[in-house]
Amino acid sequence: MGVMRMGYAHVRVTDMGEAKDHYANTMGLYETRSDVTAEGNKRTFYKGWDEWDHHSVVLEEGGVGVVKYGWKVEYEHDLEDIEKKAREFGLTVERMSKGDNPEIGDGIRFTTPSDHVFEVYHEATAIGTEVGTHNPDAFPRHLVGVGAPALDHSLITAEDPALMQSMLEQVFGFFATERVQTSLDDDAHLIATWMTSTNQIHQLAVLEGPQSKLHHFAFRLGDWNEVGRAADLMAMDDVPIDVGPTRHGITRGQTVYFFDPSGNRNEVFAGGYLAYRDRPVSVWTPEQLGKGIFYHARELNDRFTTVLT
Amino acid sequence: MPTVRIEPSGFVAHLQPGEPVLAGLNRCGFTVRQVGCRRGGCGFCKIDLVAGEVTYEKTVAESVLSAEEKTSGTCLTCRAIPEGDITLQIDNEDVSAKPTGLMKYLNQAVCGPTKE
Ligand code: FES
Ligand SMILES: [Fe+2]
Repeated sequence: MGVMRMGYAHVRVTDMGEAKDHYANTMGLYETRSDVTAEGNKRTFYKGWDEWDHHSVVLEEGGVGVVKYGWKVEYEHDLEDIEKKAREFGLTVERMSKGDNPEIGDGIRFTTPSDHVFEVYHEATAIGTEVGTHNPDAFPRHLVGVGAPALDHSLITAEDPALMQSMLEQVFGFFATERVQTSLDDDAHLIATWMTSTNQIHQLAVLEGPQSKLHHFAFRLGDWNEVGRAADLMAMDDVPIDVGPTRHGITRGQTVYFFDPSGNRNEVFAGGYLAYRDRPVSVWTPEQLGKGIFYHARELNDRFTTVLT
Repeated sequence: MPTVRIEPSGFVAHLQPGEPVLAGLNRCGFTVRQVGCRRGGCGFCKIDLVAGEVTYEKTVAESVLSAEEKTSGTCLTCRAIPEGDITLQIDNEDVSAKPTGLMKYLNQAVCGPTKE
């Protein structure tokens, strides 16, 4: 089937000590490795309790923003297929070897038209979820803080979202579930697109803005109550909340946006309807964009659209 | 205690030792509109520093605040800690010139009943 999901988000943090406190104690991720890169940068690897692969979040000390994303494919031959399609699209593709990223197998790497680095891989060391597979319980009994089960999706910015949409369609086989565009006309300008390869409502969204920037990466939660509880925990831990708890018109998801100790925006996201390739795409136009983004407040602010790392 | 003077309104915030400028302004009743991540990552909270000096105890990425900005009077308010008294120039609506509504009680609680 090609790309199954966003396997990892690798981001920069200014201070590893503070970052670890946030991702481990507030978000409740499980640390699976810490090391130092050849350049001397500290790194920490995490997974959520319901994830089985070795890691889904990598923190690297030095700066802010996103280093790269990893995308996991179902079959080994998907790598060749994606490599071929990426070259046909005009991208420069390089091979990556097992161990270039700890616990991740061979794969390919390329820079997207939005200047983000994408890695595609098939193998990751399997650790298993925290509840196992044999007669598993519903959740681990001693979760810490928010206790996020898994990485969900990310939103990045690009000067040309339409070009990114084409790339994601042609190279990854993604489809759009929702779009923001200047009008309903055929020649409308695409402002943003929400894309996926599965029933998950979005794996990656692309918003018009500067190249190579991170808007946010999101963790999955079960429902509204968990989103509200996450916001309560953020208040207890003095985490700056950007927006929420609220609902998105786009995707119908329930959300809180907040910032990690380095100023990278995070989100907790619940709900969202099931995506299908044949479901007609929902289209939002600017006069209702406020409602599309924040369904309750119905008002967009500068901070949400221009604060990036 | 370091003070932050807001020009042109002349209102003053009294900060606690080691307190970042933005946190102190909020505590003293000023509404700061130009705020992003509050964690030094986005550069949204920059305000012109016209007198005094600030330091940064936490690491701030060069991509957010360059070495040149640091020395040329740009204050990244969410991370900047005053070294003594400072003055910020606010020519626009980014920070309310004076605490109003219930915010004035926050200002009075810290800074006394009248403006300096
Ligand atoms: S608010 Fe983001 S750097 Fe200060
Ligand atoms: Fe999101």
